[in-house]
Amino acid sequence: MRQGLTRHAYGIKSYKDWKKLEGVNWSKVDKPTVEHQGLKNHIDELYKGGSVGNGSTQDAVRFERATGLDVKGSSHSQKAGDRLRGIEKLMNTEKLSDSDRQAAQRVADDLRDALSSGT
Amino acid sequence: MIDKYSPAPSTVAFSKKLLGIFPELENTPGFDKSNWDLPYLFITDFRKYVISVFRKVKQEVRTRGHASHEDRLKQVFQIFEDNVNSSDDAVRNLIRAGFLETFDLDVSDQEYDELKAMLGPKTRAALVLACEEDSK
Repeated sequence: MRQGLTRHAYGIKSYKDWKKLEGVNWSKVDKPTVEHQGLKNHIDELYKGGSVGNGSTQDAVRFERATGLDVKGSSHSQKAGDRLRGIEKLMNTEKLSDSDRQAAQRVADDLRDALSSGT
Repeated sequence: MIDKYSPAPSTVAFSKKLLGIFPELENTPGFDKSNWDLPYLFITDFRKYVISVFRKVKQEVRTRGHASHEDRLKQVFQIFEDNVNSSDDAVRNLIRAGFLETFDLDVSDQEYDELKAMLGPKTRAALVLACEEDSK
């Protein structure tokens, strides 16, 4: 078993096996619909779809941290971190509608949770 | 709190390098220079620049039979070909998860195929893995 990984990671060979992985707290935040163009850009980049969990970068990070394996040839932790900082910056500087702000907050919280998983 | 998510210095250096080689990308609509220290945001803006140059090249070829910007496009793709399998994990991830994974978001299917054909073999293989794997 790879050192430092969850005991459930044993036998997982690829991100395509993600459904076999137990004990991971997958994202409960599906892709939100938002109006603000800058926020929409972040959301589109984070929710490409497919792959692992609900198809979000957050779930790619959770998989990578639980198994030590890449998703589609790369690690997604810095992508998640940069996008989190971008969303936080946007929330601090842009005027957002209440629903956009709530969506941004949910996604930011999910990113933080993913980045703290497996640590 | 926020410092624990700081980007890898090599990816910031790579972004600065691109900004230095392609200063004209600052004129791309939607480009935000303040993102250069968040490389995954920067690389998305950079992709928009690449797509805008590609469209300019196509337009020039249609109207004049040759394209003055074609060398810029080749230069971009050569940089990615040289770095897509970089021994620096952070730079390799930036190209794959930042530039290639969502490469299809801003282009039509036809443009995607045309751009894909212009990529070097290593970048094209990485694109297929990052962007097409799940649609098979």
